[in-house]
Parts: sequence; C-alpha cells; structure tokens
Amino acid sequence: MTKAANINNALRVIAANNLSDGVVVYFTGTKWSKNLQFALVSADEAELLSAAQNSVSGENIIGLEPVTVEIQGKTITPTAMREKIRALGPTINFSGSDNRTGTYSNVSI
Amino acid sequence: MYQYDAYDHKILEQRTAEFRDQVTRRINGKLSEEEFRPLRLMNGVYLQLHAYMIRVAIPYGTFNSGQLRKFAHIARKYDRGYGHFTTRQNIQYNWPKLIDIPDILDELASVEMHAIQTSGNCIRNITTDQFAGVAKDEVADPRPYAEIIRQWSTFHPEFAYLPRKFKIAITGAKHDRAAIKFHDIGLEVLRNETGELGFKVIVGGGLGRTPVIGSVIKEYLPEKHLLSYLEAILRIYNLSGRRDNKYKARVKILVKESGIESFRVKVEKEWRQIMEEGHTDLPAAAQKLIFNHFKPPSYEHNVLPALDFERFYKYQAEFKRWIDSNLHDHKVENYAAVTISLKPIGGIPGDISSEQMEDLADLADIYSLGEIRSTHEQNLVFPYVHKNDLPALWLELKSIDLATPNHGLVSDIIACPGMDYCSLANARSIPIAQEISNKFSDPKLAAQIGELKIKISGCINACAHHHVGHIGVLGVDKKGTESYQLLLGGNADENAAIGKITGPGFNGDQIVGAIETVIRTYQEIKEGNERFIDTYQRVGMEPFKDALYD
Amino acid sequence: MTELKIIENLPTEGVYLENTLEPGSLDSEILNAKAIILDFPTFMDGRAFSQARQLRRLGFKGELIASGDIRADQGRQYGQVGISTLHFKEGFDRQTLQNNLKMYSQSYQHSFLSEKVIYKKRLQDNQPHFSGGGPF
Ligand code: SF4
Repeated sequence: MTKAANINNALRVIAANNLSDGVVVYFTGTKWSKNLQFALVSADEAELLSAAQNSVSGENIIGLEPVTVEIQGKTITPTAMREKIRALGPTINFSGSDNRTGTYSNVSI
Repeated sequence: MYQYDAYDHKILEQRTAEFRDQVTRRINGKLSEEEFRPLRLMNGVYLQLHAYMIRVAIPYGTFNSGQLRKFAHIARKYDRGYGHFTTRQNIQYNWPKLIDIPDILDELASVEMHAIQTSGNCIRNITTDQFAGVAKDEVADPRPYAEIIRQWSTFHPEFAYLPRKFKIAITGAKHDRAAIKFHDIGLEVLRNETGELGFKVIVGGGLGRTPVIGSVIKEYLPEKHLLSYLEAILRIYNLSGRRDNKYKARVKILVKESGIESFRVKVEKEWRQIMEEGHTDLPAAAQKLIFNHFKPPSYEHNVLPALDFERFYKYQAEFKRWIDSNLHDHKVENYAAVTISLKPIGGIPGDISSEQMEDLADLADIYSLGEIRSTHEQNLVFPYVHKNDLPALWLELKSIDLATPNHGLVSDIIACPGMDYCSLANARSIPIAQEISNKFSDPKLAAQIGELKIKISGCINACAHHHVGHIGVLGVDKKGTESYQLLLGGNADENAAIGKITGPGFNGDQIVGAIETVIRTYQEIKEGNERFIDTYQRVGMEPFKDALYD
Repeated sequence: MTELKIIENLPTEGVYLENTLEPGSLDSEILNAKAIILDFPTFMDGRAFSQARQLRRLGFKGELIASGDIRADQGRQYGQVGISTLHFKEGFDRQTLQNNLKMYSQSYQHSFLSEKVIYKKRLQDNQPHFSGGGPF
C-alpha cells in the first residue's frame, strides 16, 4: 500500500502543446509558459488538471497531461526521462553544417 | 522518373487548398481537436514530443535534384535546417509550426511532392528497391508498377479508414532489398515459364508487436491484373480485419487467424467480381502512358577521364574502402550506383543539413543525371554514376562529409528517432547508435567485421525494423528508466528471419558493451569469410548467450 | 449524382445493414429494398465504404444511406463509393460539406460521382502525356 500512497502524493505539473506551433507549454496557474520552472506544482492532480483545462479557451492548448516532478532546491525536474527530454529538448545535437569536417587536404593523389 | 501531368497537378492543388482550409478552420475554432486530429494525420502531420512533425512522401524513394533543393529550402525556412530520412524512404521534419504547414505543402506541390497518406489507417507510400531500374540482378524495373499503385491508392475513397495502416513494397529483383516479406503486401516482379511478366504476391508480413513473415497468396499474378488483385485484398481486409484491438488490426493478424487458404479463397472470389466489373485494372494503353516515364536514360554521359579510377583505387586507401563498400553493380557497363551514407561516424542516422542537401543536389546534376534515391536503410543513392566520375564524386562528397565508407558495415546503423523526438518511445535510439558508431569508427576494424546490420527501435512499433537486424535493439520501459532488449539473427532479405531475444535486457550504459561482446564473440568463432549472419545461422544463440550472461 | 441528399430521419422502409456482415454473405433479397442504411459507428470505421461498393456492383438501385458518425469533411468520399444520402447523427457544417463535394473534379479511381476518372481522361486526350509540370 505504501507504493500507492506514494503515487498519490507525487508532485505534478500539467504539460501540453500550443496548438498553432506545437511548442511544449506548462500550466502556471493562470497562463501557459514554455518554461517548466514557472509551472504550478501540486500534489492534487485532479484539481490541477481541471484548473488547467478551465484556463484553455477555444482549444488553443492541446494534449494536456499531468507530469510527475520532483523539486530539488528551487528546480523543478520531471522524474521520467521522457519528460526530462520534453522539457529540455533532444539529448543529441544535430550539428548540421558544423559537421562538415572533410577537406581536400588529406587526400594525396 | 515520373513527371506529373495536368491531372496530377490538379489533384495536388485541390488537396493543398483543402488542407489549408482545414487548418484555418481548426485555428479559428470551427473544428475541434477531435475532428481535426484525424484530418491532420491523414496528411502526415503528427504531434510529437516537442512539436509537430511532418512526413513528406517520397514515392518509392525516387526524387530529383530540384526536389532535394526544395527539401533543403523547407528545412531552412520552416524548420531547423535539417531533415531526417526514414526507413520508409520518406523525409520528415521535426519542428514545423502547424500554421506553416499549408505553405510547406504549397512549396512541396510546386515540385510534385506532398504528404498525402504518410500516416493514418490508409495505404501508405509504396516502397521499393533503392536500385530499381539500374540493378544488375533485376528482372524488371518495379517503379512503373509502384507508380501505378501510387495513383490507384491516392485518395482511394474506399480504403481511407482501414482497420490499420497498410504498407506495400515491391521488388524487381530476386535479391530482396525492399523487405517484401515484412509488408502488408509484398510484390516480386517475375516472369512465368512463357516469359510473361507478372508478380508473386505475398500478404500478411509485418513487424511491430507481432512480427510475421508474409505468406504467398499468389505464386503468379499476370501483370495486367495488379490493381484488381490489390483491390480484392484490400476490400476483404477492410471488411474483415479486426477493429476491436489496435494491436490485432493489421492484415497479418487476419491472415493468421483465418489461415492463408481461407483468406485466399475470399480474395480470389472478390477478385473475379472486380475483374468482371472491369474498372479497376488499367487498360494496356493507360499503363503504357505511365511506363513511358521510366524509359532508361540515354547513358551518353561522356566524361573526360580526368581522374584515373584505377590509380585512385590503388593508391588512395580511403577511396578504395568507399568503393568496396558503397558501390553497387549497374545494369549498364561502366556505370555504378553509389550509396551516399547518411551515417557519419558518431552522427545521427538519416539526418542531413540544408547545406548538404543543396550541395548534394548540385552533385546529382553533375554526376547522376539529376536523380537520387532514398533507401529503407536511411541512406541516399546516386543511381547513374559513370565509373570515370567516381574519384571526382568521392572528393566532392568528402568535402561535405558525405563519403563515409560504411554501407552495410557496423556503423551503418538504422535507428528510429526514439525518445529524443518520438512521443511513443520507451527509450532513446540515436545516442545508442552514436555510441556504437564511435566505438567502431576504425574503418579497418569495420572491414574485418564485415557485413553487419544493426537496427535500433525506441519501442515495439519497430520503425527501425529491429526484428530483422542481424543485431536488433529494442528500447523498453523499465519503471520509468530506459532499458534495452537485444535480438540476434534477424534478416530482411529473401532469407527472411526474425531475430531472437538474447535474454534479460540491458540498461542504457550496458547495451553498447553487450553489442561489443556479441561482435567480439562473432570474430572469435567465425570461420573463413563468414558474415555475422552466417556465423549466427551456423552456431545459433548459445555462444553469444554464454558470452553475454556468464 | 453530384449532390448528396441529406435527411434528418431515417426512412421507415429502409433496411439496416450491419457493418460486421461477412463479405459475400449478402442476402440478395436486400437488393429489392427501397433504401439501405449503412452504419458508421465511428467515422474511423470504414467497412461501410466497401459494403456500398459491393451493393452497387450487385445492382442495387435504391437509396444508399450513410448513417452514424459521419463527417462533412468526407462528403465526397461517401458519394464516390455509391452512397446517395447522408444521415448525420450530430450537427454538421453544410458549407464544409458543399465545399468538399465541389473541391475535386477528378479521381484516380472509378467513382460514382460525376467526376473524371484520370486514366480514362488521359486516354481520351490521346496526346503526349506531358504537361510540362514542375520545374524540370
Ligand atoms: S519505433 Fe517507437 S520510438 Fe521509434 S519512431 Fe517508431 S514509434 Fe517512435
């Protein structure tokens, strides 16, 4: 039973996507922010979700879902890797043109 | 290659206008998300982990330099300066805004491209052999048939709401580079005893949660009945495929549950009626109009032999490696098809920058009659390169970091976007691929290891075909942390085999070590010139298991 | 048959066809009905599209009604497979439906709407198949 109790006490924020550009946003209590650190954290998931839903007008924010977080010091960190990546971006960096290391100089004919 | 006529253009124009209207209605609230979602999915627009993603169809993996320049332009203007080639021979962008997508579609339409049916429960983009039309071992060019199927399946009114997505692959060669046994329908072009062209039809293959090798439903289908037979299969599937469980909805489950015999009886009965009705198969004259687009080029591409192929091959080790791994036999003497690896050491499989795309488009114009192919292994191909041009092409590719000599080798890894981008993922794929690639960056070591296909999927949807990798890796979720299953012995070609799980999974910092162990074990026990897959077939799982879990 | 009829109530003489019916097990009696009602339990369930095609092939001449979770954005699709009448369970946008029916003038496949079938047009054109489209 301790496990279930833990889950109920877990801290949550609400994540979603902005309709027009798809950007990930978090519910701040009144508005939506791209920055997870501004998110409203609560252990009452149901209340948090319904407050978030009520703040959305005309469905311009979509895919609302609760995300489990921890607070370390003042920093909000999601517990699951997926949500960490969602908050911080891909863990890999496409370096694109920086990648172009090849030159003619090391070719001897 | 195929060129649109006024009818094709009109369809695309109407479609982009329709989608623009749907996006507008969604933004101004006339359509709810519930109503809009399937409409955007129908058009290849997903909502992923960070943003929208749009998947652009590359019909049977064939495109030209103008289209590649357009891909580059779209990446730069509407995305973050790169695109990602997928295992379905398509290209996708990871960061577009929904409000920009109608403009992106207009841009695509201007070069005869689109995102139609790149998602949703409909007939998806037809895939084929990347060497179609130039492969030396080919019975016939499969592309005209793929184009015929493309047109027939585009907005087919009856098959837009199938139980699940539907993928068709076609090959014109005995050596199967299109994985036809792992598609909903696989077609092999062949000749019967009297020399007439037709198809072997395979149905019910697939990967995902339940990997299945397809069954032959028709040994020989005459060429002219291609569409009626496909329509019969699709109609039976549409009517009888399971809709109660998403994971049992693919045609492979229907075929498995009803048995191939009884499925065949139903299909053949329906097929006869379609033939009687007589408005599905193309008349010979209409078929010919499509075939006209695929006449071989003149091959009168005379070049001055400025750089001597033999000399380069003899004295330039890197060039030799590239030739040995990335060159493919061509139908026409003195020509070659060349794989352009999108797997630079430590890079992201399938990714390419706008600048590279533009440079590559210029190179395609000079060296490959302006034509390019995408492969299901997330590489590109120049299909028409004259042998004399190879040293020059290699130097140019090298200067834009696209001459990695690793086709078919350990670092030519297929990896899906995984948890770095995909909202369905259980684990990351790309960093694992990068780590393996870095570990085996020494080309001499890679050459010693020889042909090896590593395929890494971030979840059971198997976008990277991990079941058919010689070495397959599957990301699983272990209580919120990333974990990986290891599979050995899969094979996607005509000797189709589904890989077996080695045993308990590995966590993120163990999996690459486990793969190294497997490769080391292979090197210890291989006999003569055996490839990894040959050794595995000879010795089975045991020695690898012992090495992994002792 | 470019226009689709829209009805608010299902006709009493209409025969209701389950969309789970085994293919090929249709009772030919049904072909004498004045109207057949096809079921779309959700718009994602496309079985009735194939049933419509089969019924028209069997020679059914009466009213073919699509009923259930049907959507204005798919208006044309219903017509293309031989459905003549739409019975919306929920409200719908008439303008969207009209636009959708008018949007396309041609189709790659056989269609029951008065659309051009592209491969037939190409043959009629009887001229080289290049329109010079695209920049190449
Ligand atoms: S295999 Fe899974 S994680 Fe990878 S791209 Fe496909 S759905 Fe996403």
